[in-house]
Amino acid sequence: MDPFTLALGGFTEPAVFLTLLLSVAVGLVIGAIPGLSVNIAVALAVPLTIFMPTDQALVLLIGLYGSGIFGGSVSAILLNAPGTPASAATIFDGFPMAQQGLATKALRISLIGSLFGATFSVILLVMVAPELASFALSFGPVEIASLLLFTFFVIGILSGASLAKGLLSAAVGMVLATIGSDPMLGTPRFTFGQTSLMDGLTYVPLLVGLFALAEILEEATRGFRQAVGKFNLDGEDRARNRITGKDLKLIAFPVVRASAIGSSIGILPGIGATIASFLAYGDAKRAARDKSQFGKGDVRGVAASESANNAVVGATFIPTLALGIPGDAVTAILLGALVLQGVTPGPLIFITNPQVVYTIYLALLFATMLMAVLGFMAIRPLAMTLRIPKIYLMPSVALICIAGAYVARNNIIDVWVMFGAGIMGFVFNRTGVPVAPLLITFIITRPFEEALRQALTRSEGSFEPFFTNPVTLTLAAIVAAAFALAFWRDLKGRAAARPDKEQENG
Amino acid sequence: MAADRVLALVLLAGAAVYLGILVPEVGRAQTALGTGDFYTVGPTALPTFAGAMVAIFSIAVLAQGRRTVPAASFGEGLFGGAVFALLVAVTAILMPRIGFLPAATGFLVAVFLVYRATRWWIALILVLALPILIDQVLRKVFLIPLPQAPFF
Amino acid sequence: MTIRNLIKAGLAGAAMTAIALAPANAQDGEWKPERPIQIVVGFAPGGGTDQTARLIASAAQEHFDVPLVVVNRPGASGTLAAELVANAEPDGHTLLVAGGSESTSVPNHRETNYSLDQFKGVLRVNREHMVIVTKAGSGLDSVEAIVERAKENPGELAYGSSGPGGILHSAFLVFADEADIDLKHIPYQGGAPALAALLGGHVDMTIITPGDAAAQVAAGTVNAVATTSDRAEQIPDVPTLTELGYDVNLENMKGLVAPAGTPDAATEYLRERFKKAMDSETFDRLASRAKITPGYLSGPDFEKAMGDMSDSIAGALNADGAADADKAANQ
Repeated sequence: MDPFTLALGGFTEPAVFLTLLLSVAVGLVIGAIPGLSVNIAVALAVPLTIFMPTDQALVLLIGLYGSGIFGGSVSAILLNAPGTPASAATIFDGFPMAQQGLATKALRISLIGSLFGATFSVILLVMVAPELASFALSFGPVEIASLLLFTFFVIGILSGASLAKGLLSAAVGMVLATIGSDPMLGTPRFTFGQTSLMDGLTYVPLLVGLFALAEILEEATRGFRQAVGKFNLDGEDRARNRITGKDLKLIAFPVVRASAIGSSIGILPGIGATIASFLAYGDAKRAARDKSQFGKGDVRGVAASESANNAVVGATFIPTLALGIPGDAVTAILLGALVLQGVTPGPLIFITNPQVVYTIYLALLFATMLMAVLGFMAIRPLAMTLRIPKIYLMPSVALICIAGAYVARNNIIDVWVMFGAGIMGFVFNRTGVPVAPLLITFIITRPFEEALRQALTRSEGSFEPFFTNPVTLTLAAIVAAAFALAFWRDLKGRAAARPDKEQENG
Repeated sequence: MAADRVLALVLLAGAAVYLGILVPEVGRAQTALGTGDFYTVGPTALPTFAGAMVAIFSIAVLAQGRRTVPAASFGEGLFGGAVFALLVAVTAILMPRIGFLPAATGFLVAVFLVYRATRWWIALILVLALPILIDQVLRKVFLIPLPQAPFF
Repeated sequence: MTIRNLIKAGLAGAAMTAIALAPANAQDGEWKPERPIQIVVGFAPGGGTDQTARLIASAAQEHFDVPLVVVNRPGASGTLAAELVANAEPDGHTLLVAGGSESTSVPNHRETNYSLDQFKGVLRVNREHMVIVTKAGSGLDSVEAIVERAKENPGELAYGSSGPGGILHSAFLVFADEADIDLKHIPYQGGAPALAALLGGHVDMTIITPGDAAAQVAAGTVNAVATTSDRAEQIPDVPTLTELGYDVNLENMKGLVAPAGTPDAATEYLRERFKKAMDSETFDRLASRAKITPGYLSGPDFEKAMGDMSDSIAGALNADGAADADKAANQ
């Protein structure tokens, strides 16, 4: 029997199938809990895999991983708290939608986007893993620095009305990102002697604080009073929350583009789903004719963000399988689990353990399908949780966030990071400063500094490689084009507005 | 003064402290250590840039005037928010000292009292069940121990 | 709380007195663990240190009446966990998986809130060789070639490390010092990105584990030019630096240590049980499956091995420090 059939057969075993079902369900739940990210879940599952047969072990870890990314969007939409960092960009439009009584719709769009993105990336993985992997390798410090610099420009798009405030927010994010150790020399920067801060402010608590806690504080200022429910009628609810053909048409292109972006970023080891989803969100907004609803509940925002982060999942397996180099923290854990199983990851895995490879492909596919089914069934009940009076819901969520922040590294300092971020998020919201730019700069700054300095070390201080690099030049061209387009549109808009004004005044 | 300008001022002041005191501190520490390679862009380059950006954009926001007016005025309901923040802080302080369970329970009780939860039976269930649920799930399923008090 | 502490202190005191008075052999029964024993790992799950911890914990569980819990406290190249255990209660219930960057390398590069003498060795579990690799087809297919190229073009060849102050960085510093060559250091965030950089041609060499080296060599992507200690069984044809004339003996080892004040009875109890685990069939099976090289050393020997490594790294750093000051001055 050839390896593929063997791998497929493995799934018919009740133990394996049950493990898949369970891990997808658990992954959804964990992803949905703010503060508990997929990484923790996968990490904790590893000891269980030591004594399991290989295919069951793989199914367990992959099931958790794939569905966890979708699960993150649940709390992002319902609670303004990304359950996993990858769902951060889903908040921008998902939460406003929930506040307008469209939570079910948002969740459904998110599911559709996630489903598409995941399937897209698995197909990509199966078809072109080795070729893409070699391409990914060629991305060195210069290229990565350019890509990240490009991502900085997304800030402009995310800034909304006031560019100055957006840039201020971004600058603060950059300053916060400098806390930690110097990436090249290891010297502590602004850690005040605390070893716990040597790796920088922990990301998940910062995220949870900035969004979830800030929102809860905002609710607290209103005494957790229940807003007058305009959308209590079940009938109206159902109708408004249905996905129409128009919606599907609207999200079609953004989803495809977002998946492409997500997979492209996913292939490059180390960049991650968060940056992918931000880029996809920025791209969706930039490409939209009518940008007015972005940030207020545009389905395209949710769809783009979720497609991208799920598209990363399959793509991170490309360097993992083709080269034996993990694409992100979770695949690193997965590789470790494989090693414990006696499977040596590396370019030859396709030859030495083809069955393992096929099991991984199939696990990704089946996990995605199961996630769609389970997720779909869970959406309505989940949206119902919003009906819980805020006075009970919010403090409970706050408590979960506190526990979740601590659990990130078993360190109380993370709870304080979350607290500080919560205060800051609250203040920013009240002063009209957008929070998204802060977050994105925070994520990008360290890898950017690292890549930039690696490149400069290699070139001994000269910036010359940047000007001759094809990737850099391409990205620069795209940015220039985007700016030109935006500027031209702006001019057109003003020209159109002027005749109206003249009519008013004349 | 509008809230956003206050914020800009605070951030400007922060940037001044950052650039004036903290960053040179790093520079001094670096030369003292002296190990490792030292190429053109050192550990103080990015922080200097970042601090400068904060300063520049705080000034920009200050100069801009009231271009964007946020929905709620800054001070609205601030007391309620501050109290909640205080409760969270106290819980965070107590957690390592008396353990998660007591701290969490205390937190919930305090919140429900202060914000006047009407249905006391829901509140009671949550107070009793939620901390234990969180603690047990994390401890048994995930094997992550939350802080424990000596007698818990 | 105070009473509990008194009782603990009393027990510890009694135990120590008993040890001092009792004959040298047959210590069994003097110390018993009373609650779960935490094995702290300073790195994220999936990495080599974590694997060792889980393997030894699984194999040893049957010899213990209390649960052996592996706890991950990643951060700052393992120094966070080291600091934690160094300051933990020395009652035998908290152990650190040591022997890597945090024990032998990082404290030599920068100030840490702990030092090696704050630990007491229990036993060494395994040895992890370090294999210097270059990209296949780069022409750098032997140490000789590397040294030659480096002498012709000082400062041009670059190596990728797993992070500043880490054991890969130190290994290259020691090598460069011994070979009297000038290499450029490009740090990455871990061994995997460094390997990716090598394969992409962005650095000229890096260090990987023998298991990875075997896989990559078989796939024809890298040249394994030397190991930094003795020959590794996974790649028996690769010479050692010592054989080639460079006095380098460095390894990334993993073993268990306890905080310095831990009573001898406790560490002896632990050592015995863990040694039994290492001799067991379960461990053999798991270790060979995961391609881990067992390397038992008793507590004191393990301490000495780590100390020796740390000293040799310190030596290279002092020599290098002077060279770097020159370089900085010339920038």
